Amino acid sequence: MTRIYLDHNASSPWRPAVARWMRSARAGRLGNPSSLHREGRAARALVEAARVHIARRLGAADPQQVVFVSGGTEANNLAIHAATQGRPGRAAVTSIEHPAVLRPMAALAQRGWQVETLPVTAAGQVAGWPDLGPGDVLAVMRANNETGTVLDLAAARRSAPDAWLHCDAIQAIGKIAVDFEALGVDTLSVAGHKFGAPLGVGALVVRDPNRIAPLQLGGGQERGLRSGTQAAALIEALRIALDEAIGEQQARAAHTARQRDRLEVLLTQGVADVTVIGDPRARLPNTLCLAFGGVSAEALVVRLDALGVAVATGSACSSGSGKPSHVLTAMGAPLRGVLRISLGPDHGDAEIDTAGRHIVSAVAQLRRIAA
Amino acid sequence: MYSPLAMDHFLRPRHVGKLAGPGVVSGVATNTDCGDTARITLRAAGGAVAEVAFASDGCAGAIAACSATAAWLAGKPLDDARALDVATIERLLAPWPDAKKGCTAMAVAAARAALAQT
Repeated sequence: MTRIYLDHNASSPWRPAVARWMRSARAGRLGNPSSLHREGRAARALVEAARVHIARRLGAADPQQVVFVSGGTEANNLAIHAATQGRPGRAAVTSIEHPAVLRPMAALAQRGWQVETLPVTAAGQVAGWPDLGPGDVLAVMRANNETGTVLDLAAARRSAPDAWLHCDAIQAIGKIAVDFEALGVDTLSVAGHKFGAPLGVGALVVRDPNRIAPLQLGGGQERGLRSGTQAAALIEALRIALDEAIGEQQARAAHTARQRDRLEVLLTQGVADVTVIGDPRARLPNTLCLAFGGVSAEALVVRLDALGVAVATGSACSSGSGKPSHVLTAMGAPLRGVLRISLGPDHGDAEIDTAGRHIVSAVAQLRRIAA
Repeated sequence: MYSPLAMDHFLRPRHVGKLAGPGVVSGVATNTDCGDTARITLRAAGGAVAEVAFASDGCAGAIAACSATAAWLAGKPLDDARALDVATIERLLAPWPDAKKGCTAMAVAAARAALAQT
């Protein structure tokens, strides 16, 4: 059975160029980037070249602003840790951030910070910006992972020109333009596996690296900002994937949006009682979040998986806890029957149409069982 | 996550529907963890479960548990049917995920509610 993978917001498969690199003899021979011998120097050269390249691709003025980490959760934790080293002040976070931002922000309250969670509209846009000053911290994601809503970072910056602005850009890279300088943020998180690099590598871009306080101590790698042997092969894979994802972003986005819209039409016309969730005016081109009335999202995902289609529930109940999504709750959106469909860059019409037919059929079957 | 038999019950559920007519009794239960619901309708005749059907708007676990419960009940003498417990269905579908224990509890509660009226 040919699989149709429509869960790229969870993790996007390796790009072919990444796979070629990871399987190459050179990737397997790299030494420790801190070692003095030839193998070590080769690894270090690769890491530093990747740093230069990635800084340029992300619009950072100085390669030293790029700190390599293990992924998005570490990048977000490191950013919030760095932003809150001063005396406790005020912090604000959108109510639809990823838990990797929400939880470290919530933990600040235990250290005396006043933490405010910002409500959002039904479309997932921040309903009102707080009045923050120097030393305060504001965390705003570039785009939401569940609904695809693209947030207004310019408005965030205008509301708090002197606050530390952290942007979780993990879902946005390769899908919409992400430029560190243009966004005017202080820190920006990157996770490689969202755009075709392997799991286990990411980056934090930081305006002033001198203000980073390390979360983990050890050998002093990454100029002391993040101890731990740099994963040279993964960092090169991150460079390759980022290079392609950003290089192709404009061309791919148009194609992906067309295919997403094709699927949206198929589903909204083929199924009764379906609601599109998100901001139709500001949405990632690959993301489609839909609520199907009268069915369980988990049942839909399991049935579709058996039919060869991989999608996600729009909720945080993957553990089976049944806990509704904090994002959908904050938006006042339907909580049951919510599917998150996130396309990759290369789907053809036939694949989209097949997925659409399977989803229509699965919803109908589940509704018959529920009737 | 689910055993092959549980998946089979989910993908090819037995006894789907709603019985109606004289002698039909109905039991409804809700999984308070997630709001899923289950309804089991059955008709007893000759001291046994003559017909049984279920409906559920729940997850794969809920549908599998309801299907397995309905299949287990079909044809059972009423005395045996009334002895149904959650462990019986979980053993049938084993290994059953801890996170889905609310589903088996819901299916069995709906069956018991129906059987209580026979």
